[in-house]
Amino acid sequence: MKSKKRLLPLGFIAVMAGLLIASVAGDPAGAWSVARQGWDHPTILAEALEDFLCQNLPFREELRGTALRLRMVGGAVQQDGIFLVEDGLVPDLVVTSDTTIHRANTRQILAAIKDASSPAYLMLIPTACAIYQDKLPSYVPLYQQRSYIESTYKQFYGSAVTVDAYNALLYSDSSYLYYRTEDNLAPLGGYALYQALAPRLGFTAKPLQQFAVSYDVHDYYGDLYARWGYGGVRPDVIVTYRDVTGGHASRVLHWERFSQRSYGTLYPREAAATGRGTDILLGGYAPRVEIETQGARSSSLLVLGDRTAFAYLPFLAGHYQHITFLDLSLLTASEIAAFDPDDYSQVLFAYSLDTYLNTEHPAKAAELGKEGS
Amino acid sequence: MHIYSLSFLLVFLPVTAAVYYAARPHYRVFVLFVASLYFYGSISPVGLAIMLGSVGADYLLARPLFLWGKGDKRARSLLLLAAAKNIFLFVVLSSLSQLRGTEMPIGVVVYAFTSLGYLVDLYNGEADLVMSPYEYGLFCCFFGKLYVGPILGYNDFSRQLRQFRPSLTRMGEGVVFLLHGLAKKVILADSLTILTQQLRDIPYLDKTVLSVWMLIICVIFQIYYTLSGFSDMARGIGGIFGLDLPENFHYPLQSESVTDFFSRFNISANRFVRKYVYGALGAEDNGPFPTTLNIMLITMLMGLWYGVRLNYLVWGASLGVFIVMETLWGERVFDRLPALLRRLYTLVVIVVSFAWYASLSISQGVFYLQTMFGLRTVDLLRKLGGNTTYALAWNDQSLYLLAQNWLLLAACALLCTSLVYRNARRLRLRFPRLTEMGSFLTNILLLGLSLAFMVS
Repeated sequence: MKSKKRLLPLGFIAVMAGLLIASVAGDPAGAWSVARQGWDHPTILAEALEDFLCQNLPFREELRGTALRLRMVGGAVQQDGIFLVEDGLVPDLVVTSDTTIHRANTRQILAAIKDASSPAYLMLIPTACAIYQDKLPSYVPLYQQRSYIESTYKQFYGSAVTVDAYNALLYSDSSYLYYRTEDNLAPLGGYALYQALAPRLGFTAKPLQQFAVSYDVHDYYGDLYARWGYGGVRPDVIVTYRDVTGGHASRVLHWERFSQRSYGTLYPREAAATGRGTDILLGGYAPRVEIETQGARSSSLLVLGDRTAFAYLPFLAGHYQHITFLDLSLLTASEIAAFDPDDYSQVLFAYSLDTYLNTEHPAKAAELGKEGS
Repeated sequence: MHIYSLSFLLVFLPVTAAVYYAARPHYRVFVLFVASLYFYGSISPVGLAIMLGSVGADYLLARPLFLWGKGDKRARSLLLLAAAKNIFLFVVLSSLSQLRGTEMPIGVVVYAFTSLGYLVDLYNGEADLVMSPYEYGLFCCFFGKLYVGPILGYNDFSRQLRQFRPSLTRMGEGVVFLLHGLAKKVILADSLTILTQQLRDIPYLDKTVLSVWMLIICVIFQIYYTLSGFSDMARGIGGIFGLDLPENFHYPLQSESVTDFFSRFNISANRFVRKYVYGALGAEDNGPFPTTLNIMLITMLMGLWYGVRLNYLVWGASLGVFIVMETLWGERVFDRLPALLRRLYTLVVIVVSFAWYASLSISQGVFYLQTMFGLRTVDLLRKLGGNTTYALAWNDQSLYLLAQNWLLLAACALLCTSLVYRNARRLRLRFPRLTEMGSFLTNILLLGLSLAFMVS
């Protein structure tokens, strides 16, 4: 019996030594760097060592997966605010208790609409956890996105035309409305919004059959997956839809503070080749994106929005000669002031509810067209 | 670096153990003392300076205290000075951490009261004079027991140091304790911390009877598994270095009376308070009134052991009321009840009393108690803008949190009893070889699971 008792300390020592040696062998340069930087201060050494071991421990992904599976067996349906649903991830919408943020957003957008003469449109886009709530357990307390959108739209009656994104997504035929590994709308979600937008903006939406489908990026894992970090999720496929009937050629211009890029197509493959998989959509995210389409209806659209816009803008491109997309969170007050809504035929305010409720950026719309005033 | 971190388990502990066993026996105390200082320095250099100052001062006071002996006025003054210094240190650091909203530096209670206990023993002639500063430093600041003790008497400790014989069997027992403690801390207590926070974060108006009961039970489990996890790890680390540290928690949640609960929960702290305060007050043989006063004082001091906060004082006092009743009328009433009923009564008293421990203010404590029994103060809810006077039994949020964590809560409920231990012992008697192998595999599995929770 004693031999078994002796087996444990020896086994323990062997496991500990094995884990340490394997961690160091996995990244000898990192281990050396930790050893060098830490001699000055025991606290710094301990922190650096802990980080190093967490990142280089053998089987760490398997261990994390094991912990997650155990939690899931124990009844957990979410981890760090992310639900695991079938084979995809759905982030919970956590809303700040500071209600002044969304009130200010509403107030300032109303002020911007009042100052402008172009017709204004408002679209508040629900997040995945509202649309996919039938996939979550019934007792999961979710933020009431529909009622919030409805109450906010009431404040815009007479000022702006509102677009019912909630029902458009909820009753869409597609099941791939949101990415599985990224907190954003997938192209089919964008198409559902395009269908909802079209009659409000004054044109007829093209049926999906008019678009050629191309599966451009396979095995894409987005930011949400990196936050999740436990596996058990199918990768996304980035699909693009090219209008094959209109014969319109679009040009996309990216404006960033110190650089400009232009692409001769809505879906530049070179952008995806050098950056993230989703960069194939309009060449990737930028604070200001101009889309010019030859042969389209002679009008222009100013879109003030967030990352969700890149799902539906490619569909809208065929209907406008000129679309300007602005993400106000990435622009300075003077840069925003340079844009006058009156220079455009229509102005669309389109925000994900996450952006609208938790950030102050939509309120910057009040700065539009204030240059020189 | 904490004792539940990878850097401790994979680097600090093996390196220290290797140096310790490679060193000549004469230098081993020194090795462990230096390792303890380094360990504390890696957590808090300021805390290390405070600890060295406090323990160093007590070490310097020990010699004159010993030379002058009991009864000497100068010795008594020195002892009072040492007591005031250690209590002041604890009160100040506890209060400062509350004011700043930070955690109290670890180990203050342990090293301050270990040192004070030694000086009192020395004054009373119950302890030998420590000659070596390293030995005294190690006695007060051994890194394994810095978190929650146990608090040792010096004579026990020094005897172990002198009779020390390294053995793989003792080391094996130490590893078992270490793994059990680690699992308690990183698998159970840390998960409970998250759940407790989620329950606390429920807005006041949405708190239900179920959510508050869950919150209080979670706090009890969290405290129990954190403290007993640290105590087990202390025993384990002690075992690895050949030291035999005593048990500090003995299934307190299956106690048969509140008095029993107190004697099983943080045993060494309870012994310390009983020996140095209760004993000095004349114990229970002074009649009902002084006994009541003494018990209330002791229980309130035990409450303050966890921090200088009014709520902890009220928690101790609320348990003290039941201990007084058990002391005065125990033979006539409590002892005649069936064991199951006694356990049920104890459990209810403990859970309800922890409403004070779990709350951050007296008004919050009152709110928790009222919500637990379906009542709410109208005033408080009016202030918050609501009209409800009665709490809901449950809502989606509380059901959701319960459903999310049912296995965790069930595991906590099972493991806080001696059921698993008793059955394992029974199995060991019947199938010794099989059980030993099963125990080995279980411990390796526990290590794997603990690592899984640590990296996730």
